[in-house]
Amino acid sequence: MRGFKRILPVSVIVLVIVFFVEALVYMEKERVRTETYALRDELIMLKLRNRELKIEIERLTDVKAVQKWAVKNGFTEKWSAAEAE
Amino acid sequence: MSGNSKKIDAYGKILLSFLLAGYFILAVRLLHFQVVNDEDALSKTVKRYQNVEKNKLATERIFQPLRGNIYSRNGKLMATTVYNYRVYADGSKVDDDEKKQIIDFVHSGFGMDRSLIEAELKTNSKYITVARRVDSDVIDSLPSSVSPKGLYMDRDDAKRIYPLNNTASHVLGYVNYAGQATGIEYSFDDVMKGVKASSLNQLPSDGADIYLTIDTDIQYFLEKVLEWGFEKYDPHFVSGIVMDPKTGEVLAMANYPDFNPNRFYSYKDSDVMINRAVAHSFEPGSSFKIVALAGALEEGLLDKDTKIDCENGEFRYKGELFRDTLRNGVLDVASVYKRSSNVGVIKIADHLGREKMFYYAKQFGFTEKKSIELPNESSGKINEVEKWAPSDLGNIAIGYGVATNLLRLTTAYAVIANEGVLPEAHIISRVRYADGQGYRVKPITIRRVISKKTARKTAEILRGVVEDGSASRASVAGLGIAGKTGTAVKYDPSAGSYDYGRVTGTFVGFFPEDSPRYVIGILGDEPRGGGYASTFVVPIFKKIAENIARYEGI
Repeated sequence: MRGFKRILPVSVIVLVIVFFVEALVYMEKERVRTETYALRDELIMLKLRNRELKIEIERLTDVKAVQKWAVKNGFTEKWSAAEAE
Repeated sequence: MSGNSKKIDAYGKILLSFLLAGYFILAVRLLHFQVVNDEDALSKTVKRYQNVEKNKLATERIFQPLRGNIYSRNGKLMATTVYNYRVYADGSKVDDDEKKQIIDFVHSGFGMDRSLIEAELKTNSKYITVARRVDSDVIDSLPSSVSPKGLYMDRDDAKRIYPLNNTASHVLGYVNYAGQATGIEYSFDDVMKGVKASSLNQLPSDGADIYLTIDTDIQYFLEKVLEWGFEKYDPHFVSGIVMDPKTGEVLAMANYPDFNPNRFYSYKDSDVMINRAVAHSFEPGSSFKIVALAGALEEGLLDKDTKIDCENGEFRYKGELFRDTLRNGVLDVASVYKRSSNVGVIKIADHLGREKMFYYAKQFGFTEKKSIELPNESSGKINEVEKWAPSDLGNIAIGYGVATNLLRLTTAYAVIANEGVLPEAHIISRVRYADGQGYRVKPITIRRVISKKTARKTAEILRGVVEDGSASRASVAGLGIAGKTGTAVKYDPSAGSYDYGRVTGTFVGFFPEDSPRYVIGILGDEPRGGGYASTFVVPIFKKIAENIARYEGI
C-alpha cells in the first residue's frame, strides 16, 4: 500500500506532463498545418498572379489592338489584306 | 507488516501497472493520431480545417491542380485558367435584418433580382448561389467593401480564359462549366487537367502546358483574309490551313465564321464552333487531279509534253458523259492541267488504270481515318476498287466519289512540295509538364509517295497552272507559286442528284516553288451565285500568300 502511495503522485505527474506535451504537439501541428495551407494558398495566388500578368501582356500586345491603334494614329502602310481592299 | 497487507500492496502494484499501461497506450494512440498523419483518422476529423477557415483561406483550392496553359509556337499565351469569385449566401444563420442587408447588397452589387434572392432566403437554404466566376474587378468595384453577414465570396471558381479571343478558336476549342471540352482542350484534356492532391502531405500536380505549332502572326493573316473573303463572296463558310510541307507542322488553321471561346455559351448556332478544316467532308473536284498526274509521271506513262486529245471538251467514258468547261482540243499534259480539262485527266487516269489510281490515292493519304491530334476529324473515303462502277475511274480522277477534308487535301499537296514524301500533319510542338520536364514532338515522315523527280515534274506543271492557267489570279510576282484549283458541284441527297447551283471551291498551293516553305489550302463552301474556285477561292489564297511573303521577307 505504501508503494502504491509512492507511485500514484509520480504517475499522475507523468500523465499530466504527457498530456501537456501532447497538447503542445497538437497546437504546433495545427499551427504548421495552417501555415502550410497559407503557403500553399500563397503559391497558388502567385501562380494566378503570374497568369493574370500573362493575360494582361497578351491583351496589351494583341495584334488586332495594336493594328487598330496604329491605323488610328496613321502608323501603317496599306499592305495587309483588310486595308488593301 | 502482516501477510494480508503485503497481499494488498502486491495487488495495488498490479492494478497500478495496468492503469499506467492503459494510460500509456492511450497516450501513444493520441500521439499517433495527432503527430503522425493518419489518413483515415484525418479524413474523419470534421473540424480539421477550423483554423484555416478562420484565416479565410480557400481550403479546397489548395488541393486542386491548375489546368495547363496553351501557347503558340511563338510563345503567345492562348489559353489559361484563373480563379474567379463564387458568391453565395447562407440563409440558415441570419435574421430578418441581415437577410434584408444581403438582398440590398446582392441587388446593387450583382444585379440579382430582389424577389429571387428574397424567395431563396425565405427557405433558409444553406447554399444560395448569387453569382459564379465573378471577375476580381467586379468584386473590387462593389459599393461596399464589407459584405453582409451570411454572404460569402470565395475565390475558388476556376475559369478558362482565352486571351486572344477569336484567334485559333476552332483549334483551341473551349472547356464548358461542366468540364467538357472541344478542340485541343479535348484532345489533351488528360495531360492538361493535372492531378488533384489527396492529402495535405501531397501537392497537387498541375497540368502540363501545351505548345502548338500555330504561329499567331500567320494565324492572324489567315483569319483576317478569310473574314475578308467571307464578306466579299458570301459563302456558307470558308476555311484555310497553312502548313510547313517539310515538317507537317500546321502553322495556321482557321474557319470563318469563327467564335470567341470566352463566350462559347452565347452562340445559338453551334455550327460556328465546328472546325470545318478537319471536320467537313467534301468532294474535292479538280484539286484531286494531282493524284492521276503524279501517278502517271511516277509510272513513266507520260511527261509534261505528251499530247492528249481532249475531244473538244466532251467525252463518253464507259457509258458516262464527261464535259470540260472549255472546248479543249489536243493539249499537252501541262496544258491539260492549266485548263483543268476533265477529259484529259480521265484519259491520263485510264492510262494509269484503276488499281494504280486507287493505290496512289491511298499513298497520298486520301483514305486515312485520322491524321492530326484534333477531334471530330472526318475520315477519308474512296471505295475499294472492287466496288467501282465502270465509269468510276473517270469520276475519281476528277475528284468525284472521293470524300476528303481540307487538311488531308493540303497534306497531299505537301507531298509534292516535300519532294515526294508524305509528312505527318501535326499541331502540337511541345508538351511541358509542371515539373519542367516534357517532350518535343519530332516531325515524322509517313512514307515516300513519289520520287523526288516526279515531285519536281508535278510541281513544275502546277506552277504553270498559276502562271498562265486556271489559277492565274493567285500569281504573285517573284513568289513562284504552284497549285491547283478545284470546283466541285455539290450532291443533293434529297434530290438524289448533283445541284449545279451549289459548289465547293478549293485551291491548294505552295511557294516558293523551288524550295517550298508553305502549303496553303483554302476551301470556300457555296458562295452566293456559285462560280469557279478561281474567282472566289484563289483571291483569298493570293492575299494570304502576299501577307506571309511580306512577313517572312520572301
